[in-house]
Amino acid sequence: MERLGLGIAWTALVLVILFLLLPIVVVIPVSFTEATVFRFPPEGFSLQWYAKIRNVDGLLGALWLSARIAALATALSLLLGTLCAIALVRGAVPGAAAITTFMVSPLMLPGLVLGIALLQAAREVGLRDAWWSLLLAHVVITMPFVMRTVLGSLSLFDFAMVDAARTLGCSYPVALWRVLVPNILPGFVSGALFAFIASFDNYPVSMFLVDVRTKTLPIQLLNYLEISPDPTLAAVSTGLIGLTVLVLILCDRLVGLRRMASI
Amino acid sequence: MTGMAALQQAGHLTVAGASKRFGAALVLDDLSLAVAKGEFVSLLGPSGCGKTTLLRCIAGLLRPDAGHISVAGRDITTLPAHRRNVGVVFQNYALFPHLTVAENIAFGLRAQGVSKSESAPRVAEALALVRMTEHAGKPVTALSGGQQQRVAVARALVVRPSLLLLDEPFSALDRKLRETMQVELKHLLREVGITAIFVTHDQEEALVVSDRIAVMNAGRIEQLADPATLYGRPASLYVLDFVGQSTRLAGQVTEAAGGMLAVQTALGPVRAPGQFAPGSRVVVAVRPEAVVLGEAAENRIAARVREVSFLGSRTQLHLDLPEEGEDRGVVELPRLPEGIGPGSAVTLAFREADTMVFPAP
Repeated sequence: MERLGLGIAWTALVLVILFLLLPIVVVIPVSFTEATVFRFPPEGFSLQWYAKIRNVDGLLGALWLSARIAALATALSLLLGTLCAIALVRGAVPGAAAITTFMVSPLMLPGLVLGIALLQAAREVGLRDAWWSLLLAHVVITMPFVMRTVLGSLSLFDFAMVDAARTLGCSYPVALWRVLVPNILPGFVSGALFAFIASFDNYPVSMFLVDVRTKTLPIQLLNYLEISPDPTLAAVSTGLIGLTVLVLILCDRLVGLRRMASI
Repeated sequence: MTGMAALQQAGHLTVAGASKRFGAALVLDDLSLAVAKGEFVSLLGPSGCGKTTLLRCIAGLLRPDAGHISVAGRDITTLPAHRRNVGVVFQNYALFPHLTVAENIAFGLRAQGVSKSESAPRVAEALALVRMTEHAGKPVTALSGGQQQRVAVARALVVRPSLLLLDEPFSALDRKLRETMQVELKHLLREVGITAIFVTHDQEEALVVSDRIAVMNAGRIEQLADPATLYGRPASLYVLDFVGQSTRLAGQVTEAAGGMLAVQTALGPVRAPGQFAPGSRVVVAVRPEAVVLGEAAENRIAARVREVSFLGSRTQLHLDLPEEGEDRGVVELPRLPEGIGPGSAVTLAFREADTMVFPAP
């Protein structure tokens, strides 16, 4: 019986892995097709769809915008989120547990709700600029990811180390920088990674905040799909997959994926 | 301020009238302490007595609500921790896991802007001092408890602090290692010639490592004395209780003349030196090793053996005394006499001079 049960579990594992990976893997060969339609298996080999990325109106601009927004929002979240997390873990904040739950709650909120609420809020305070409202909205999107991993690392961190650094001649901020930051680096990196991805491919929130000249990549891609569904999208996707793999390799070199996964 | 000035003259480290409150709890209560240069003083007390709070105030990690702290004649009460030059060995050592042994030790030198060329020989010297030279390149997570403690001590000493504070430095070690490290550390610190304050709740440890012991109770120092005085002449029942064991009997003073008291206890009259008015309710006490079986001393009481504990180099008799509570009895003998066991009736004898009298609580 035990063998049979394990066999079923094994089969399920293989099927799920295939189901998770196949669609992603299929995109890569399709991006090199000579055909003008999205079809598998691809016909021939060409780089024409990669060349076309440059010519599609607004695609590179959207990519650049999304990258900048994601990077800035992640950086802001790391700074603010770490300070908030330190206050929650060390500051004897009344109701710290409830506040912690609140700080990670946008993770559980439907993006649509958040998008409408943020649009409303931006209107109320008279914020008409799409770029700034996108950035602020994406700080809201990224903050819970950063909070979650940084809080996780902080709860394992022994703050006596900060005291030790202080008695050895570091002021409090310097002690945080030289002792706390290196020790919670895995939490930073994995939090930043999740946050960046969450911002980069966010659709439901951004949808409400973009304007004609300021469109993020997911929105631009979907627009393009509606107008001309050709393998350019596969080429863009393959490029993003390559980028992700590159970032993961860098993270592995920097702190080790094992350490990141454990947080 | 004349009191403060007198204290400062007396000590390398001076704490004058320090108070600290956490919410409703008064953790330090107008506490004063003077420690001479090169002296080892233990702050001994149960958890919550304020000993760690006092240590953190001296280190600058907490600021007292009232009072002054000075080191080498300089008032450091408001100086932040990083400018005090007070070394601390933390309870779990608080070594930096992202750095190697040598980098941990060099940390303070780097923080204080000591150049690489000057810091390298000082780190090497500190490593040699704690016999960790061969482990210099290891990550601290690969070290045993005793080795971690040595690194923590070297890291604190390498910056040449004016004072070393140790917060329960042996509590993370197992018993056997703890005893070795206590002697080793005491010897090492003596060689360096540093003034050191140990915080501990372990009275045996305090007796081993200290020149003087401050027994703390509820934010105050109950008694500050050398180990022999503390053990032989405790100032209060609290100190008697906290340091070592004793046989205790409740009683009433029946006679007081020329510094000698006669006390009536449930087990008969006992004579002891002391100053109490006749009629006072008191507790008489005697240390376990000051008691012999038989009639070879002035004070004698009869008791029954409840239990016998063999401790290797000595044997303890636990006695049945008439009342629970104030009355308890422990006697320590070099070896158990023939025919004595649980239930035996014995006569205890102890000298008048070894008998202590305290006011009844």
